[in-house]
Amino acid sequence: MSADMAVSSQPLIQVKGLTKHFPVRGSLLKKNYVRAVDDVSFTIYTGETLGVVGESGCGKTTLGRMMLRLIEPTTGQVLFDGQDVVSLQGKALKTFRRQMQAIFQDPHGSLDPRMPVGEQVVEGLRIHGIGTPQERHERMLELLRQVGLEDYHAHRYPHEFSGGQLQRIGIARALALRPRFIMCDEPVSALDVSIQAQVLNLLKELQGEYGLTYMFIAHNLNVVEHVSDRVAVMYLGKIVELAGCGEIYARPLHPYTQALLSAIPIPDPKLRRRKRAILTGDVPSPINPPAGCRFHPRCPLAIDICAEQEPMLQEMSQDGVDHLVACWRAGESSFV
Amino acid sequence: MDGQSKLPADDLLLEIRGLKTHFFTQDGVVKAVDGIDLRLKPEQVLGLVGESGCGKSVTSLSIMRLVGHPGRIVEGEIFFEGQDLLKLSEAEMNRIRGNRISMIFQQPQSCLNPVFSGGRQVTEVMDIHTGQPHDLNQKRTLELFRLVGIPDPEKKIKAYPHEMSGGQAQRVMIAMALAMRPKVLIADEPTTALDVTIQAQILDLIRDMREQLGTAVILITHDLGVIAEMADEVAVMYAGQIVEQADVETLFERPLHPYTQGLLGAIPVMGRCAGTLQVIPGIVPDLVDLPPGCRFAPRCAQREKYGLAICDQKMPEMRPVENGGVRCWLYQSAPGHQAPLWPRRRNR
Amino acid sequence: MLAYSLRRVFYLLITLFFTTLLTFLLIFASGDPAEFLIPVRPGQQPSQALIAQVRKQYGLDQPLWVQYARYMSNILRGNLGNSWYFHRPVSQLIIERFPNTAKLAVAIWVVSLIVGILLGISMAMNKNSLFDRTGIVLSVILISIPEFLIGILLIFIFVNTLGLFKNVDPTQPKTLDQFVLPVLTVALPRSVGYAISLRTTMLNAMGENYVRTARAKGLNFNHTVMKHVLPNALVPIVTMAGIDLAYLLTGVVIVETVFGIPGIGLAAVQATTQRDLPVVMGSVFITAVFIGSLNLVADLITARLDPRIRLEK
Repeated sequence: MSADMAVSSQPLIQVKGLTKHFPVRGSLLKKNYVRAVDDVSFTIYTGETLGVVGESGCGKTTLGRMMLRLIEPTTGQVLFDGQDVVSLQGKALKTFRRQMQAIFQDPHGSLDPRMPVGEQVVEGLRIHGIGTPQERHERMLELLRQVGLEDYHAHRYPHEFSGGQLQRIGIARALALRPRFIMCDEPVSALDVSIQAQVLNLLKELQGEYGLTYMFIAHNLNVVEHVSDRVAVMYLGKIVELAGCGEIYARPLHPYTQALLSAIPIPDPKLRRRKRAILTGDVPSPINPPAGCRFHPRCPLAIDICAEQEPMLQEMSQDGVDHLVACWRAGESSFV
Repeated sequence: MDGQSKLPADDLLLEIRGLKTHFFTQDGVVKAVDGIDLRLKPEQVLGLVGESGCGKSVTSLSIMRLVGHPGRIVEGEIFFEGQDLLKLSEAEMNRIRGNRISMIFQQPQSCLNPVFSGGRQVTEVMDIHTGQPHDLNQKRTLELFRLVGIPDPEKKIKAYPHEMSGGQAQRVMIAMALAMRPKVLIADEPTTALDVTIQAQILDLIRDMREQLGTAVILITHDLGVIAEMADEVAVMYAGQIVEQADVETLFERPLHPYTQGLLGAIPVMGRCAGTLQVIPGIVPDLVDLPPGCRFAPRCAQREKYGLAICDQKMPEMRPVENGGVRCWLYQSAPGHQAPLWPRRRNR
Repeated sequence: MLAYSLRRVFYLLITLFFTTLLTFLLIFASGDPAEFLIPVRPGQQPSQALIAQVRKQYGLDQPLWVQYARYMSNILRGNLGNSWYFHRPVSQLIIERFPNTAKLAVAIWVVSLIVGILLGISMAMNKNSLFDRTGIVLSVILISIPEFLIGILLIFIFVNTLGLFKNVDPTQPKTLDQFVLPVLTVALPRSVGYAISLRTTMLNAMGENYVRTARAKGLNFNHTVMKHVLPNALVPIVTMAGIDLAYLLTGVVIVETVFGIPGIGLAAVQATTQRDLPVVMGSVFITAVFIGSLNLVADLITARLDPRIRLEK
């Protein structure tokens, strides 16, 4: 999928040991934490799309927001072009914000209902003092056209648009400051399948044109796998597997990834009777994650060490294709 | 598919003829369901698929006669066990709801009353429909909790909805719906709000229950993957009408209607890494202000390809095709229009 | 549940402390109480020496915090002091006056709740009917008219025009007759207040998914409303009712004035205008205890009814 796209080997963003613990009131004496994201490290290369997938409570949304400092990390570093974003303050932070933008899940909720959409698209330019009003107006029209909307849409209000159109407006807004990186947090989850396809195609088109780097966060693996060059699978605040998109489908090594893949309904009735790996139990709470490997209570392959020690991400690459897995039994037989 | 006979066919469990449910709002009449025919055989899983606003949920609420103000069923017949449900009194309908036909919904936690325990709400169904004493019904609730796979049922019976996960809440809803062994279970987007691994569990559960209890299921969803996993027969809805109907394998292998083809092409499928996805341009029509011809025409690539004029002018009828039907001018002729395609499903 | 209750009791005690402290300070901020203790002939200014003497006599020359501490320690031992204006122990005054207010208050409360709830349910179940719409208009009118005006209007209608309740003597609270008008005066606007609130909470609850589930189970409309909608809709009403009763018990002053009923509210107002510190403090303290306790009871009942509240941290 990325054959025609230039994914460079230069890292744009390096995340090191990023952690977020939200304090939660426990009993009077003990303090409890929601360990939303726990010591996560990875790299995003210039021009690539890194997909991040996981179920509720896995921390993917918190992770995305921390990278833009919409949520303050508890510890850890986010190196953008070598510069640590987490330690930036004041004006430096504001300037940096131009390079990293975001698109969010709820198209209706992320736009101000009382402002015409055109104004919202170029609000960033106004905040950073870029361009004259005339120039901003030109840029606004240019952006709207780029995402497939018309000039006259500029002075309409959000409630006059459909979900798909609003998401396009969100994309236009993210592009306004010419960022290098866009964090997409479930951008198509609220959209119908046919509209979803339109928006995904648009994102891909813009990536090629502007050389953008994306982090694409979603809960459905098939959407993520389709748009991404590499995919990271998260579970209870940790990355359990990270590999190229074709690789993670062909050779899922972590039992959770296998279960996830197996659970996705495939739109082909002939494959209905295939062997499936259905996980039992519910997704546990990130307040008191299990000791050792966090997946071990639900894991059909769990052995003693899994309950005692947390496995680190190890290299399991084959044929020169990158593949990282955090599992004591990675590489042994799959349980599907 | 002819709809000519006055009596319902004997081997059908549920038959809907010409159902129209309209909403009379201040902005105009929203024709949410505009003339659909559906047939459900005993123990069959009928999938009703479409995107938001196509009318699939309103259809299911119409069967249960739970369409709220300002909606109203304006036309049609719904035959079930020899009666037209639309002609029954409210009291008679209450005897059918939860008893002969049950329903489960999206977002199960919000479907349970927050001030009562889950167990109590399941017991309530049996209190309503059986003459049995309350404690007998409570015992039965415990059995039902076990049947639907809720771990630690003695404790979970007393749990309140906000203490349950999405998966557990949906299991409770299923227990509630199946308590009286209904003939039909209507599942309206039962797994849409749930995590993928939980979704798989719930779908498995529905399949198991169907096998064990022999319940027919009307499964409503926008997810074609779920349809492929679960349904025997599928009806595709668009803008209040059924545009194609077929058994599930045929639908995926040889979809006839351009909308179905577009939907299938738009799904990102694992492992295919197709690059760009096939796109259906445009958006769904405004249900108050519908075009005179085919409702899909403004977005239809095939119409352009074959240069058809009739699509904008006249609404096509549902034409029977082996094992189903399709509503499209590509496959039907009319005075002044020659159908360019033959709706062959299988190579003979 | 226990932890929740204990925490609430603790908050109540803190509230009581701050209420009494604030009142104490306000009394002194409004002027020197000593001035009101001296019988004054018109045109005559009391001498400084006299004022100083009075202050010493009543202990008003001590620093404020000493006075406050002394007063509070007395209260905790059950001694509310002596009224400077009524020349009686405060506790005696309260015991004398309170039953009148209590009977009035409870009657008003019960009537307004019963009428309000019935009205609210009917309005919600017949939404947008003529009955419902008339009810709303009537409610707005009744809530807008000041209580004393309603009282006077009722007197005019019943006593003057219809000739009823003529021989009622409010200072001899023995018969039932004398309650009718005062209760009506306050209960009328209150009941429509409850009705409107309940109507709103019921309509909100009726739009919820779990009501749709109840109907899908085969439960008929009326049963659905009674069993599923009402318990949810009543939760905020219970809280309102608790605060309401406390407020009523501490003196429906306007009504007591209009109908001449010797209740605690009237006494408290008179005391305040006279800077009668012990009575003011006494009634504020009793009020705070009542409102706080009833509010607490209401909250505990609510927590019992709605299991979600218990978990709120």
